[in-house]
Amino acid sequence: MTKHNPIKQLELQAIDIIREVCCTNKLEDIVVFYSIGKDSSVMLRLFEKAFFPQKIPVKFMHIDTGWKFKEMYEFREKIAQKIDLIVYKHPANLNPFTDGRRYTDVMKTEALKNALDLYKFKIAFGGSRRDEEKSRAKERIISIRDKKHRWNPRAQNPEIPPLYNTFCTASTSLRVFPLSNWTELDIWEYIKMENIEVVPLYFAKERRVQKLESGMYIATENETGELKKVRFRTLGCYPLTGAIFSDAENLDDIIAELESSQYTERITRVIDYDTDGSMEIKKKEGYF
Amino acid sequence: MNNLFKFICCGSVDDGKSTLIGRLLLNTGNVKTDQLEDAKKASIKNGAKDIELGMLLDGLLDERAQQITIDVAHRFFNYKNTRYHILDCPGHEQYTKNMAIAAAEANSAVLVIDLMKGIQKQTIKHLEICGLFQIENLCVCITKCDLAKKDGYWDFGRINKLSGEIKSLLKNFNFNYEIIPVSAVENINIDKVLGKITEFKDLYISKKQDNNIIHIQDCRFHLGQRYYWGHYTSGGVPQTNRKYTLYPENIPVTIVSVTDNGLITIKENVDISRGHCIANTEVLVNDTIKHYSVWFEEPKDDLLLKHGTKTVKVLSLSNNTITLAEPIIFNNITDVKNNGFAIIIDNKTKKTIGATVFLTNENKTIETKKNGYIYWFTGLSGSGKTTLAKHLIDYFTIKPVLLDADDIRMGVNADLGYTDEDRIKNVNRIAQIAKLISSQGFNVIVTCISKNAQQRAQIKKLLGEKYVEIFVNRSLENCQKYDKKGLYKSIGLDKIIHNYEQGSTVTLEIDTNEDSEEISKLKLINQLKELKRIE
Repeated sequence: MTKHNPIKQLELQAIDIIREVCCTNKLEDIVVFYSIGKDSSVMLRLFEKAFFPQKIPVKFMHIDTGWKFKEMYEFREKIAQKIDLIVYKHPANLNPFTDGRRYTDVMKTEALKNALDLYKFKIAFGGSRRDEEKSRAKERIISIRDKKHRWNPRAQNPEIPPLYNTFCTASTSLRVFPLSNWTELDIWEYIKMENIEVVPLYFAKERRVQKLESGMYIATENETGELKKVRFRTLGCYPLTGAIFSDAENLDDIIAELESSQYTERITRVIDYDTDGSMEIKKKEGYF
Repeated sequence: MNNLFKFICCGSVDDGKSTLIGRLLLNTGNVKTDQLEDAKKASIKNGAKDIELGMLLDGLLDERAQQITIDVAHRFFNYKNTRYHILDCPGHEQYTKNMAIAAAEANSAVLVIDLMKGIQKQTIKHLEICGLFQIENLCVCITKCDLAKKDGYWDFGRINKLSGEIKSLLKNFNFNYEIIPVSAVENINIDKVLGKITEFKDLYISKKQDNNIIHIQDCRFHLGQRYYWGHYTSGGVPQTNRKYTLYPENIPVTIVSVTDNGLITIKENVDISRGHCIANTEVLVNDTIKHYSVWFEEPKDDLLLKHGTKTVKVLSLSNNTITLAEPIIFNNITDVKNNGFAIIIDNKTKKTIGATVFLTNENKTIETKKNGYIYWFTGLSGSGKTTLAKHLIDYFTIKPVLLDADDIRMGVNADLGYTDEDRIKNVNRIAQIAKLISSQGFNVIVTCISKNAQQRAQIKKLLGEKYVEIFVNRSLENCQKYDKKGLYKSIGLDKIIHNYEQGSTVTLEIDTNEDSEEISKLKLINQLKELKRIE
């Protein structure tokens, strides 16, 4: 192992952050958000490695909207046998087809805040990366949220890694992002290096899809959908996640595809494309 | 990807930093089509005709609306097998502290200076911070060269003039630097900037980092085995079967193994817990530390300092010394950068309110100074003596005594006129007062025209080795031209001194004909430091 292997450096940095936060706070205050996606798979591996040979001493939590892909639920069942996983679903049970934007606000943002309050978690780990979206480029590794989980970009601590201020007070909660300095490509290279299992939807296969007005293709369970060879770069709720045409059937293919891709992964997420700066607004409301 | 390299990008507000970074991302193929479309939309919404490169960056809504960068942003680009991590710093004065935080993380910097505006106050401030945080390599980009064209070509007269000013400014620092004029908009010389950054990366990688410093995070037990989690503060993953020293106990230990996930085991049966440090290089252990701090909020009474894995209470804090409830294990920032700084946390709000750089001297022999220094500012009326003297006063924690010849003429020397004889008397009396104060251990600052070279030589004899003569050199024409206080207009002709005699007793000369006030101030402090006449 060389000191200049960036993936190894990123791994050590992430493990360092996980350990520092965990050994300076009460473990029962800590939760790791688990979305079933690739970043969550990487986070899980990093937690395993941070605590090995002991078991991971903190809980994981999935905010379920009820509208995830079937393969995602199957994958979650498998993972749930390895970790202490809480599944929380907002009782409103809104529907992405008829409730539009309110669906995301309630089933994702509201649900996340309710779950944190319900279980009294004060520190939540998330798998967000700075390269995902412009407002995230300014996010700290340890981000302070107020009592109502809101993000105020101006009230953040100055941060000099690896000197982290891991204090959490009665009036604040923390979001911790150990993958801050990773890119989408790093995630896949790490998955390959560590041989991490991910949801099969990331690999190209003939699937039924439906074209939206915006030109985006989404997966459908409707038998009338066209059959195309597609894969998913990101996984969300199935009507809100776009598929891409692809022949990438394995990790090497995916890495090669990403290296030549002309688009970022966010293009496949409906949630970011509502308004300019919409991710920032969602973060201010309490989203990751 | 084989390497990872961090650098900061800084410079005064509106000097073209975002545009330059946008250009770097674009030229290295790190902007995707959807990002380009987004930025174009945002540019047009803001009233531009086409894409503004800066729009590729500025994320927060406030920032886009105000077209400024408030916070440090983290950007990544891949170029020739290296991941470059840009710490993009805000240029506004009120966000200078954010820039300091970024400088602590990197060893190289890109500094932008707008050709049209030249060296600004913030430019100098940023350079000072880069120096303080031990930035080694600096690429200075003179930006917006496309805006000053002469007959269709860049105005090289103007570029070279600024370049000369920058060089003269950089003499006060110790950077490995290069100055490159660029136009991000016209895409000229961007390849040179990239080349320079690549060179800095190579320098960084070739530099040996054998010295391991590991701050212990926690001691863990499993199946009767004890192992440790550690921060690799310096030197990365430690080598095994080597001798290390455990601090603060200062006893030898051997690292037997380091696993893939960074579990350290030690051969010796010693009690090690969070806050201990294992190193194979010299570190300092102390609870009283000389420091320089930048503050994000006014420090209150109840403070904590976090360094390595140790968080300790601050007992007292003065401008240059910090006293802690327990010793910490550290280095001077000039020796091991990564082990040379700390953060300061308000114990009530638990917010990070400051960053501290350690500057303790190894030999802590407290000098029993007998006499204070006498800083004697000489030069024509209106040359800038008082301005520089006041700047020097501000530098000290214990303020020196100021003897201004004009003030003394109002009182002690009120009986004297402006004949040659009286002028000599005037200066002699000031020297006598200065001697008296200096002999009691106080530093003295004198501002006095003292045009007579022979007399200054006598003063030097009188005041001895503590006499520091600072000649503020501005020509009579310039003094009259920039006569802000209206001295030359109000004083009778008989009182104007035309014939300043330069002498051999001068310790240092500050030429205020060309340099701006800010540069002159900087030169004064740096040269006094160099001459070891101030700390």
